[in-house]
Amino acid sequence: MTTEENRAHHVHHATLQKQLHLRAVLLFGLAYMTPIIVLGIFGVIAVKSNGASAGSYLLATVAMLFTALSYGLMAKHFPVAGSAYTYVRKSLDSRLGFVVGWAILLDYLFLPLVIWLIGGAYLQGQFPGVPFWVWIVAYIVLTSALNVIGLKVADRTNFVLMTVQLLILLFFVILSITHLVSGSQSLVSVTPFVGGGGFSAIAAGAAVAAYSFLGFDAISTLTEETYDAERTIPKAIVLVAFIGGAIFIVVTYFVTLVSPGGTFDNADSLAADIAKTIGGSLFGAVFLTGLIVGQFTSGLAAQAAVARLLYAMGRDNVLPRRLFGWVSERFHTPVFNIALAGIIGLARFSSMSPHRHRSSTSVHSPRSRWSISR
Amino acid sequence: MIGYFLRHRGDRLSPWRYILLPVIGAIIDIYLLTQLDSKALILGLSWLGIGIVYLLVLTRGLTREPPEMTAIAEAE
Repeated sequence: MTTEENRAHHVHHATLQKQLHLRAVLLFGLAYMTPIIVLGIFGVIAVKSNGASAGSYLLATVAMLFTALSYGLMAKHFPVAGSAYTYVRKSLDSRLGFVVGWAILLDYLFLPLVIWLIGGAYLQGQFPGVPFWVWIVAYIVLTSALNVIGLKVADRTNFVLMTVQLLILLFFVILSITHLVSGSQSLVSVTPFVGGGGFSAIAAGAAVAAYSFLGFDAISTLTEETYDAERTIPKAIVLVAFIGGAIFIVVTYFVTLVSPGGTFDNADSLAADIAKTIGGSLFGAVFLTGLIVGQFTSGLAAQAAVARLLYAMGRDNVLPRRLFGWVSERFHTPVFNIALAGIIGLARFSSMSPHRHRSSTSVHSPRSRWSISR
Repeated sequence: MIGYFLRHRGDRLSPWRYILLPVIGAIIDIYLLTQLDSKALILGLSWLGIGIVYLLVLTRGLTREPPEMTAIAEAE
């Protein structure tokens, strides 16, 4: 390191601060995952798996646990914010580590944008009179502000909104059960697990279902802000995959009982229609609120994660350190990186706007299309 | 992970956890990659191409190691 680089390094001595416990990290992981989205893409997976959505999610959960356990082991050995970038760099090769970091950056950088677009589409479906960009800007400004102020505040917000999301999911399950009971249908069945298309259909559904799990890896970027990270982060990663998987399986099990089979006229908006069937139009609106809130917390977690990954790469000076490696002394957050993630959300939006009418025709299509194309 | 295992052979790490676990994980992840549509693959490969060019600039054509922050704590 040259003396000039040394000086540059010492000028920015503010660092990330330890402030999260297991519960907070766990909820960030689940927020990133957005459990309620299982209902948003239920129709797509039901079609792919030929009515074996719960089986597809079971298979995907088992499959994803292998990756989660691997991530957990690496997070134990390298308690650093860089996630896979640092893991490969430290255990294989620094150049390869950069390439891996760069590759996951594509995902991390554009995920907040996708999340905000979907949230905006849900909101526009509900309030067609308000211009689409208003929702996007609102999402970005609120989320960025919370992330800049710091993880403590972001965590408190996340806690409240995740409680809302999980309660709405719980209501969905309870209403499904009462609907089944009032129709004197059986609550016990293997059909949601086996479907009508055999193992190949279950596997095809699982390939799509696997994308619902995105997020368990991202919490490794919060390592440097977590107490006792060598133990907390691995535990959190595996628990997020496990709890998320359990939620997906339980929800899809009961929803499949309400709406069995693998062919629907309305696959894209199936869950919203089910919500109205089991709980009336009031619950339909509550369900949509859950989706909107879910996109908000998802964006919050995704923006926090990309900011930390950029910070880990900036600190090493593989990305310009003055910008990417800078942590605000006042807030102890990588403000430039957070702002960059916000700006990308805006920039892409302007080129997306011509298509907004198409994406608003069905409030559920964006996420499902996205989940397949990723 | 396997690289870590090979470099820390003296530490008596379980081969089941450090070889089998990641190999199964990798097989599943590669399978998922093959399920992506062509547009996503083209986008991903283009991005990777830009990254490799940037890496070449950064390391002066792989003649230098990429820079690294000093003193990262590594827990064993």
